[in-house]
Formats: sequence, C-alpha cells, structure tokens
Amino acid sequence: MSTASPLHGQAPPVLVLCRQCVQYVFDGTVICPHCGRDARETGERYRDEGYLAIETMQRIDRLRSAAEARMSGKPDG
Amino acid sequence: MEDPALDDDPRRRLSLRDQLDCVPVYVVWEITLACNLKCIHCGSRAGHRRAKELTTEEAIDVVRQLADLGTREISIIGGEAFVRKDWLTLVRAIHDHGIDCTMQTGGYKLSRDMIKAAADAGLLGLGVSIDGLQPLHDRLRGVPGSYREALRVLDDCRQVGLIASVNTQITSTVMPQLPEVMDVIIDAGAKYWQVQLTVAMGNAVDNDEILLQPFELATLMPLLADLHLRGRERDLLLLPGNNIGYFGPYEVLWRGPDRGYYSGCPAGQNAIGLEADGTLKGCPSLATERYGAGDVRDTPIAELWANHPALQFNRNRGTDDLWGFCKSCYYADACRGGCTWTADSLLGRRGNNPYCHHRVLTLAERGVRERIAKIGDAPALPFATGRFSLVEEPIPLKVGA
Repeated sequence: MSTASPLHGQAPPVLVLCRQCVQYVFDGTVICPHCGRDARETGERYRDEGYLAIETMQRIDRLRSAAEARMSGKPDG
Repeated sequence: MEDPALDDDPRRRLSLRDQLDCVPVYVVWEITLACNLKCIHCGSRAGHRRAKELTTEEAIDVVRQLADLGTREISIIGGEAFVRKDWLTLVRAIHDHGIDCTMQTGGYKLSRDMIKAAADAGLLGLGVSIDGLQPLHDRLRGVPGSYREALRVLDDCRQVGLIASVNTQITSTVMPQLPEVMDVIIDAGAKYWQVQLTVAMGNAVDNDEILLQPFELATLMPLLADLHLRGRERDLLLLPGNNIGYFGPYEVLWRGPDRGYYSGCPAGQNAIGLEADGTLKGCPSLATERYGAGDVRDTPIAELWANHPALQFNRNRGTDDLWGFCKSCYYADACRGGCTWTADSLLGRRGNNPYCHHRVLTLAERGVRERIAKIGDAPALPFATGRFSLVEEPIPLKVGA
C-alpha cells in the first residue's frame, strides 16, 4: 500500500442561528425554514439571552481558524 | 462513538486546520476486551480478552505513532481497561507523549488506591457508567452491587481530586429515572454527565426490548433539555453524546452556540478507534467487518490512516451515502446522517438515522412516527450487528383527545 495519497478533508458548512427562533440555519439564509420569519432580523430571545454576543465571538473564531489554515498553506476547504 | 468529553477545554476543539488535515485528534482505545461486568447492552460483547491483544511494547509504540500523527486525547476503554495488568504503564506512556488521557469505566472493583495510582500516572479524568437507579443499573450491568460500586468510585475520585464524569446509556426504561439519577450523581460529586442512546449492536440486539424507539425522542429531548438547564444551576454540565441530536430546538442548548453545533460524524476524519488486538477503525464502536482497516502490527498507523478505504468515508463530506429521510433533509450537508455507528448498526448501512429529533418533529407534523422492529439476530461476535426494519406508522390518537 502506498503512502502517497494526501490527507485532505473538507470543512463542514457554516451554520448560524435564526435570530427569530434560535434554531440553526445555513449561513446566508434569509427566510428561516423553521419559523418562516426573517432569519437576519434580531428577535427578543436572540438579543436578550446573549446569542448575539456568542455568535459574534464564534465568527471571530472562524476567521482566526481560517487565517491559521491559510498560513499553513491549506485552502479553506 | 462514546464521546470521552470531560469538559469543553479548547484543546479538545477541532480547528479548521485539524479538519482539513484530517488530524486524528481523538482516539478511543479498547486496551482489552476482558471485563468484570456482564452488560446486556454491550456492543462489543466484552467479557474475555481477545486472542491476540497488543503487548505492552506494541501498545507503547501505538502511543508513539499516535503522538506523531497529532493525537491530543486518548480515552482508554474496555472491556474494562483496568483489568489489563499494564494499564497504568499505558496511562503513563500516553501522558509522557503529551497526550491527554482519560478512561471510561464501569467502576466495579476499581479501588481508591488504583484511582490514585492512575491520577499519579497522568490520568486526567474518569468517566463512570451509571445507567439508572440501582435496580435498573444492576440489571443492565449484569452484576449486583455494580451501582453501589460506581457511586463509590465517584466519591473516591472526589477524595483523590480526579475529575469525574458520568456516562448514562439511554434505554427504553430509564427516562422516568433520569431526574433522580441527576440528583444522585450531583450528590456524588460529578461535574459532567454525558448521555448516549443505546445502540442496536451486540448484546443490545439480543435484548432489543431495551432499545429506545425513535419516536420516543419526542419525549426524551425536552426532558434532557430540562435536565440540562437544571443541572447548570447545580454545577453539573449535561453533554450530549454523538448520537444525541440533531438540530432540533434544543441543539443550541447543549451544543451551542459557544461550543458550536453538530457538524457530522468525525469517524475517520478526526477520530480513531482501536481494538485491543490492533485493529484500527474510524470509531471504536463501528462494526469491525465493515469498518476494520487492518492491524497496526502489520502496517504503520500513518499509512493506514492515509490510505485505507475503510477510514475515508467521512473526509470529503459528500452526501452520496445518505438515503431515506436523511437524503432530502434540510440539514443533510451539515449532519450527513448523524452518528455512523447508530445508523449503520441499526440498518446495516450508514446514512439514514431515525434517531434524530429534527426528523421526529418533521414526521410528527405529517402525523407519522417511526419505530424499529428486529428481523434478524446478531452473530455472537464483538461489534456484531443484527437486522432491523424501520416502520412508519400514524401517530396514535391520545385517549380522550
């Protein structure tokens, strides 16, 4: 068996929370498939229970992780 | 795979680089199949040691190879790991290679002195199985007194200063007991509680009445959410195992948002399973006949990891393997059928997983539910699977409704 084949995996797609019903949707979703409302418009629960701050930190983590991967010469997947 | 999580330490988190480079960050290693319990849900049918378990020297070489591959955590399991005479040597070897070492145990006959010795050797945490209150636990574990012993081990960990977590198998009868189990383990000093659905494999196929029906997730998941919130107030973190999910209304509660969200089965991409005889798999619990990737005695782990087809199935994140409900699910690209072990063991093929809260809720909107029915037994071998059919049926009307 050869050791020549490269180890290359794919990264999972990015999900974010619907800012209305706080269920996961794919990044860029406009109309939430769960609640039918605008997934980008901040709702009370999203705002008051701290999800906005947490998702902002997550976004920073993703950017940092992507930069780290780029610096190592790997594409973003 | 039983997730060996003890906490949400950043060292355990997968980076994008880990995912792209397929770094085997987590390893779950059955160091012996010998066991002093007789669990009726045991997927590996543990009891006697395997015919050709790795020698101490071979096992230490495995640790060295895993360290070279970038492994950051090894969880040793059995059988019962401490039944193996050199288990402390292996704990120390793992620690000395800069890898976090944890252990999962039934706790039966694990003395305080042994726990202290393990902590001194570098063990970071101990996961103790508690599958219900005493009568249920002892029945499932097949040994009277095993419940009392498990609680005693939790207390000993507290005395020794070793982090203790509790693992609980979700079987068909445990649900009403879970609130009281939580009280008991909090009193015993546990800080982490991982729950996991019992999977249709090995002894659990022989005793299929203990398996939860998929539609029962409609009752289980709100209960777990409630326990999660109540546990947080009392310094206990309820964590979902890899087969608890997916993407229902409570996903944000126990996986996110600060821990992320379910991003698919890590087997073969960032996880390795090892059987005591040196058989390498993408996950320790997968059926050996379909997912065994060869013997680490014959081929270097790096070579198996890079090339063996049995380890590749998750790496390109394709959805070609999905079928049934999962094929057309909104979350297909992210979830990819959830836990491979759960789906593959049940239906003989990965990619269609009825144990999914999102699925249960979606089907309920259509007035239907799913149940499983055994149609074939599992051979008397470790990690053997049986045959089950998946039955879709109308949701019965409640009496008086």
